[in-house]
Amino acid sequence: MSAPRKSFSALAENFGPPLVFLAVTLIFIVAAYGYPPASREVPLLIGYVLIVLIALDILSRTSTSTGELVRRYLNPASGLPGVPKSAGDEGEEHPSGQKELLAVGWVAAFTAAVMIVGILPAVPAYVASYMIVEGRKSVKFSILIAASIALFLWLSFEMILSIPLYRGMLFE
Amino acid sequence: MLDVALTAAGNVFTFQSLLFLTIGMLIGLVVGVVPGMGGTTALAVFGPMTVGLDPYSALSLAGGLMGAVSFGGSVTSILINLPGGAPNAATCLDGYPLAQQGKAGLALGASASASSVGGVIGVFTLLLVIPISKKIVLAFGPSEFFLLATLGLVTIAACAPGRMLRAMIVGGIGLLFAFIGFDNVNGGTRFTFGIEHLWEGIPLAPAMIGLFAFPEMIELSAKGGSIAKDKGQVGLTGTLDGVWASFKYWKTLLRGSLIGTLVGAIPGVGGTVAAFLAYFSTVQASKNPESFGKGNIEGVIAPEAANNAKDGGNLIPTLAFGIPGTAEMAVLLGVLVLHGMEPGPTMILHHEAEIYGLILTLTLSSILASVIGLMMVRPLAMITRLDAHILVPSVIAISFVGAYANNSLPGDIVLAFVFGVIGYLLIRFDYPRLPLVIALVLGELAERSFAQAMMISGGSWSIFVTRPISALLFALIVMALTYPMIRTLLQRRHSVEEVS
Repeated sequence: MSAPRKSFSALAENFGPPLVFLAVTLIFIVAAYGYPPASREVPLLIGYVLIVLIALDILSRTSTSTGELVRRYLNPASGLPGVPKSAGDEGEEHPSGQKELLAVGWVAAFTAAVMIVGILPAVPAYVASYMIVEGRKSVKFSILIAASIALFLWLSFEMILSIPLYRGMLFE
Repeated sequence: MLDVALTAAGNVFTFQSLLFLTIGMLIGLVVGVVPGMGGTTALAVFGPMTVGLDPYSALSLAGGLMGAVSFGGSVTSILINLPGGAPNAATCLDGYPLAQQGKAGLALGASASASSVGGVIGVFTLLLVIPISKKIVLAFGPSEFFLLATLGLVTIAACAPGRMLRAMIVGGIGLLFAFIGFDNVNGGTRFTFGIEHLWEGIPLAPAMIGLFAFPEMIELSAKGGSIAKDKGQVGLTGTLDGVWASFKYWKTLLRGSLIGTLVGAIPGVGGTVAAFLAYFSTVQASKNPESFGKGNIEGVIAPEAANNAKDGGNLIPTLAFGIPGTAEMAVLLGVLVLHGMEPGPTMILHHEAEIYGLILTLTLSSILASVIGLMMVRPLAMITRLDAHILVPSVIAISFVGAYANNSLPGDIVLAFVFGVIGYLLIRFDYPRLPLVIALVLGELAERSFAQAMMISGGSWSIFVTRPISALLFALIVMALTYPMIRTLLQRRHSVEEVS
């Protein structure tokens, strides 16, 4: 059972991204036909060019001779799955998926907290809890850092720039 | 002209004007460091406060602020890969890898000197160009604007190291995102999918904060440690080496400055395009293009010089015709009006001394802001050694609030998060992020110019090749598209010859 699962995940990793781009493009193309001709002209032009480019990208991910040709001239740095990529800005080693999900989860929780209770309570709560739970920092130190950041934001935005910070859905 | 310049200098070198110049620079440095808060917001907030001041003090404040914002923005670009404003994004490409290698001081030093020299070249070009500025501005019509926007996108895709096809796809998706919201051709709204927040389109600040700050912080959070992988000395020596590097690579400095001035002079194009064009033209001209994106100091010098030089260029259409090329210039025009200066061709005739005063303050602030910034290099560079578990929540909190503050819309925080996830997925699946940002910046200009050009030509595409500047831009686009393929072909032929 494990071999077919592995090959499916490799296939998904290889063809998933261009298929997502294709889906996004198709959504825009379908939506564009609901607008007047002048409004849809350029989006449709971009959309159809994108379909060609995505088709080439999919082709470049196959092990065919045409795919190899496209990859060589248009995407030489991107290899087939399992082939090592060159190091660089967008091609470095990434941390494990579980750690990534946890890191994204913290930011998602912070975003939700901002929307619900507002910026000023959410910022110190997020900073302090992240430092205590993830960083294993002392409670006192974490609260001090969290309070300093909240104070900095309040001084910079509310006091100096006169930009009122969002109070959240509960208090607006 | 000399008499007027001397009068302006006499008025600028007073205690009061210099005090406001310093205040403006300090505000500019602080605002530049805060993500999402560009010179436009700062000018909009502080400009009206100058009502009670004399024109020279007000223009000193404005000039100081404008000259310092870009260096402030490059500090965060280099140290935490978080551009203070869109034009600083190009500096991240090589500035941040340098910081990761423990060479933050080198990058900041190069950024400071390149900003200063670029700013000075920009304003001197402005002085030279003012008499002939009308011809330059009027030479660009809708077809040229469209082709310039296309050139910007194509160049960026062509320079994505080994990922041209993927960069073009991301750029195309970015263009589709740029069409979300108000339709400039027909006046309605498009592609909002029932989300009211998207009626105004996708704002650049949250998108940029999400795409650049979020992925780096997620990776840092998951990996732990600090930004600087090599914790070598980040001291004054590295900074002075950086200052010297700008002069060592004088061709890069000059090229960046001239591109910045030229692009800045074209209304509606702005500093982001100037910085990226300068960066990618430096990559193209380099004998070692694969070293870019991994910490090449020339990759800091070129966009920084262009970013500061563009201010001088921006002032050409603003002062000569009252056509503000950017939002920042539109706000500056508002400040000028507050002090009795009517925008348009007559402004130069009636307020020559004030205009030269503004040019002088911009020159001074370009130099002084970098000096002040350099004095703060050591404490600023320490950020790169901070523990990830302190830095990550701090940067996320400050940058997300920055995303909100630009328009005071809470939905922008959600947008920053969404774009952050998009940015992270792009990195994860080996697609470049930059074309998305550039497409968001250029999408509206490209579509509007395309529609206008087609209207002028009666639907004939020949307008894009029959006008001299259009033909030149078209040829450059073809070159940019074919160059990477020709380079691959030549490299293959060379390696085959070596083997045989």
